[in-house]
Amino acid sequence: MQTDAELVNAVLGGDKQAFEVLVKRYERPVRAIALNVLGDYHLASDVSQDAFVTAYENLPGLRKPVVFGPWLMKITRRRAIDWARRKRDEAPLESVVPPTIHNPDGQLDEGKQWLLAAVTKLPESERQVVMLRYFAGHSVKDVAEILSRGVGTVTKQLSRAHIRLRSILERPEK
Amino acid sequence: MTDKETIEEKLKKLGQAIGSDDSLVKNVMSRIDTATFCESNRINNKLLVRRIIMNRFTKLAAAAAVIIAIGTGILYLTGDGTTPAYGITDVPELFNKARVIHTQGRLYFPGHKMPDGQEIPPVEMEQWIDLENSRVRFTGVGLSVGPNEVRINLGETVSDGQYKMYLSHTDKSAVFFRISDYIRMLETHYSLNQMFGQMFGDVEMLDSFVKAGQEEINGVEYEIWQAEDVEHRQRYRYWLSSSTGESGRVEAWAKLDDGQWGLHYEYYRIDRNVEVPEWVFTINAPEGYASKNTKETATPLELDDGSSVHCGSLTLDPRISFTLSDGSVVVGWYSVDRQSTMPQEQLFEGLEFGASLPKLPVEIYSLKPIGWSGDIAYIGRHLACTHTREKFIEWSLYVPDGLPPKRSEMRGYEVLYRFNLEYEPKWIIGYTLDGLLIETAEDFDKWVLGAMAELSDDGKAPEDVTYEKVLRLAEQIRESLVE
Repeated sequence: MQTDAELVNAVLGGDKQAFEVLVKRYERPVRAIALNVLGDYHLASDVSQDAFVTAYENLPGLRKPVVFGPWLMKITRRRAIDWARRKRDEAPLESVVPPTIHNPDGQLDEGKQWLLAAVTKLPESERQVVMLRYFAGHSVKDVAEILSRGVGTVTKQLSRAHIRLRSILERPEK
Repeated sequence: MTDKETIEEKLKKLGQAIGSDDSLVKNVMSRIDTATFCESNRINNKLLVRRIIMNRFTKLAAAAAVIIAIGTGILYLTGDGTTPAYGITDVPELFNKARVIHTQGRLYFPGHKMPDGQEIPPVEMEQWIDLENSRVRFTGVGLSVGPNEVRINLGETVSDGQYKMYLSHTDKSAVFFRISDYIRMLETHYSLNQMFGQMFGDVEMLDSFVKAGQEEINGVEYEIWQAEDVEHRQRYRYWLSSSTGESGRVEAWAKLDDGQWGLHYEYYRIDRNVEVPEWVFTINAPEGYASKNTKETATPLELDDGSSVHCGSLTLDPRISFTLSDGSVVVGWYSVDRQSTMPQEQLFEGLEFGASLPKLPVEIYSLKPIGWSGDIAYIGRHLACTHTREKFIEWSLYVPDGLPPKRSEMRGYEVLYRFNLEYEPKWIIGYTLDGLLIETAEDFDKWVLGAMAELSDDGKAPEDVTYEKVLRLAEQIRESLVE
């Protein structure tokens, strides 16, 4: 399992296929971020594509290859917000979050929408491990390797994220 | 989802519901080919020296095609006889007042290895900044790390008078460019700012330096000052004589992916106001170097910020950007659709100072600070238009609708753009602006009006643009947001 940093350096060294590995790795996390902002599955797919292309174009400007994941998430969120602003004619973004999310098989139920919104509110380090573990389906060991973190660190971050998510989800709605 | 499900189960189900799109990977890889085409246009359109200048501002060393130039430092402490005579926060001013700055140092490549696993040898670097005559000479180092090859390209840039010369020590070649006084001044200014960046990380970081020890070098007692830039994983160390204010050494350490610190670069010689040997600013190719052109055939360099972007018939070309003292940003930019039959001047007809932005084909409608988590929008207004070499340069003001980030909290601005076309081009622009800091009316006149004059056929800036008027406009925009 190559780390993100290794893959980024490979892309910068001219290995375009290494970027394909990164796209496959982050496809679902990126889509999740875009979905949370936009609430539209197809729009989220378009934004995800844009985010990956923008990331590729700007890769030489990424100072630390090890932070590729969070950097990509920021690009995605920014792109999604730009799209949302354009589509909603400058409507405040808060009014569209949480959105009604459609996927090809139907609709995300309310519980999943709230869970997704809660995941996006996690601290960056926890959000990344949660997304790679549960959305992209990597094992804890793989997540640790991808992020150049220790398995123990990832386990702790997942555990903290669970506690935080439980707390967010159990909070009574106002 | 049921209440009895664990968070883990819920997350797994959510992951499944988010789903996967098989076509995404294919589409992205296909679009990357187009993006590469646009990128290569961008590179081809600009000269190597400008790429080096641009990359001098990226602060990085951990990626391929990294280009880094030398920086220097002298630190002083303040006091009253019992405490040091100079303060570290005085340093920028001391450098600003210097006639000449000279540094020598070494660049290392922590975190990178040769294909055989050996360390990449460090590269010697030297820099001269002649502030009195606005001329520079500096080393540029390009590191290209591939799976089977590590390549180091070594070059030097020298500017003096109407000329700039780029020497490639790798290819043993020389290229000449013709530059204006403004461009030479600007690049000297950039060199000084870049030197500050390499010495302190950021001028705003100076307050965070603490004493970390003492050391005698060549009979001079130095105090060692240290600061850490957590976000950029960089640590700075300065050797400073509290009695003379001279600096003996500067080091920058980078935190590597494995958590260890690696020496990134060091300056072992830092001089101020030394005599400049004649060879330093000589604009002639050294013996044994092949000249790719001559001074007579030197390519004239226009004022721009390093790169334009082209795709099909469309061009977006931001030329220069400035950050004003209130956080507003002035950008001089150019955009054209060569397929359009509408004359460019029509797009500017009737536009007055403070009006909405002209509907250029690719419109920079707003900016976004890079590397900052806050959420503010920049509102764009037209300031003026200048005409140069058959191009109309739009000068726009972008006013933040909230408290803007400090310089140390961001790494420039991302350009937010939209297309004023009848179709939506499949074109993604990842463009960033630096925003040269403007703190006084004198700065504004020198740099902003200077840039407007530089990008004007008659060599004059528009008469109705002044620092006070621009700040007043920004204030009016902010007030209108409150209402």
